[in-house]
Amino acid sequence: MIIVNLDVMLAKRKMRVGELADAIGISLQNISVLKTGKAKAIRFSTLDSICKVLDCQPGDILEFQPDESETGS
Amino acid sequence: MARQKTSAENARFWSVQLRRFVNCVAVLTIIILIALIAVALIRPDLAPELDNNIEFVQLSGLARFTLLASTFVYVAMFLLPLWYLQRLLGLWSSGLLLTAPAARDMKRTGVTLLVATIIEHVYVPLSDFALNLLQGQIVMEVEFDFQAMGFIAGGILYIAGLVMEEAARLAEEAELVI
Repeated sequence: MIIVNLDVMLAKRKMRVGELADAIGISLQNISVLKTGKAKAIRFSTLDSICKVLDCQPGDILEFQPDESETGS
Repeated sequence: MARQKTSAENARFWSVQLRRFVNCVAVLTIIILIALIAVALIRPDLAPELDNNIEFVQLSGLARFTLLASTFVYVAMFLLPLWYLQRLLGLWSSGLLLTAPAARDMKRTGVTLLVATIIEHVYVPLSDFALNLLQGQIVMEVEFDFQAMGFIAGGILYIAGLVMEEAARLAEEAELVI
């Protein structure tokens, strides 16, 4: 599964979640959906805006972790 | 220059108007039905003449009760689709266009309309047969009066409800696309 590590980058850039939401033009609720892993997909335009504001690469905020059922095999 | 309304805004507007109309039709039907039943019970001599030239006053108490009860059920079968339709229009007028509850109500409107149409085709010959039986005649008149539109409308609504279920699923998924 894909993990969204927004908290780590926000801490590095000393930015609050609300400031990020305002900067990229999406609601706080949607940021929360992203952070908590409930999002089904992320648009390239949203990823582009996040990387611009946080001055980072997509790989800095997106991480792949195998599901627990897959690691068992 | 006035901004053009979106499809969603138009859908909400017309849902409000149609819901008002559907509610008026349902309330009027209920009032007329209750009034007719009250007249038939209180002043049977004023009740309308039935098919086969039978006067309501000629019927026994049990026959009158059975006839009134079956008429009540017959009309209720057509009020049931109106009930689900006004629920559906209520959801749409609140802005809940592509949702699972709306899809459910659309399917139910279709199914109840189909059932009402089937009963309509069966009720009239059966009630005529019962009235003929009361006159000592075992006669059943069968008319070919196939109401295709009822079947088509009910079927279309049910299928549209299935399509809307899929649309609601996609809309829910789209909300989780950030």
